[in-house]
Amino acid sequence: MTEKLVFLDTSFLIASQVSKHEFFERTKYLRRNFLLKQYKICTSSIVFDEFWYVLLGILKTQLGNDRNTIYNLIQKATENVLSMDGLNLINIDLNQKGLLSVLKIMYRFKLRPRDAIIIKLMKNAKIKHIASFDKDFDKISGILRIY
Amino acid sequence: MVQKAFEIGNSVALTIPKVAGIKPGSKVEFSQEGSKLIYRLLEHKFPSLEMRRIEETSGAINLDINPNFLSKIIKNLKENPYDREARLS
Repeated sequence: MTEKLVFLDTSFLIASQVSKHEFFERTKYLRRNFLLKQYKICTSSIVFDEFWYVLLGILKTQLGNDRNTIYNLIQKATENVLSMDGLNLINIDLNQKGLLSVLKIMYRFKLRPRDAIIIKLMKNAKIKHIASFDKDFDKISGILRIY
Repeated sequence: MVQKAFEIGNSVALTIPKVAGIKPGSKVEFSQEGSKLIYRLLEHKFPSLEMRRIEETSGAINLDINPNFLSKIIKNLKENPYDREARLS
């Protein structure tokens, strides 16, 4: 039997950690559903680039240059994500052929490099579902967005 | 516990003070005396360990911020030069 896998995208992870985010409650509802429907959750180290970037942007707007507080909050948010039950980090290694394939995905679906890499990683790992609030993933054939 | 009740059609609505400690999913037995609803807690449906873990690993960042303003901040962050230009379109 094929495992049911869902990739947690940056937008999902951000919403899960910012309690005033419009989709905060939705992330908890979806995570409950993943549990009930026995989906395995996974993500990749590449999403943390944007995860930290967006959290830094939000926190700097609200807290100015309070470096220690910002660091502590981002550390807690990161620990929360990494502590999500059953979370698996998928391997990001791509060989020469894989990288050229990423470029093709960028061209075909007009995606940003980071999103194209995520799609390539998902295809490699045979993951068909992505939990994301980013509509860009709707146009990818063979990938179903859960939101 | 005694609580005022408000009847709306076939339904009964009431506000329960937080100190009563009744959580969503709690089972209660009730009877009515005039406009007052008397209810007795039968069992609490505590969330499972997995559900509690979801709560514990959510919402690390709890800022006093208007959600609409937060959405604007996130939108602005995503409209940076990299995100605008890094597409073959």
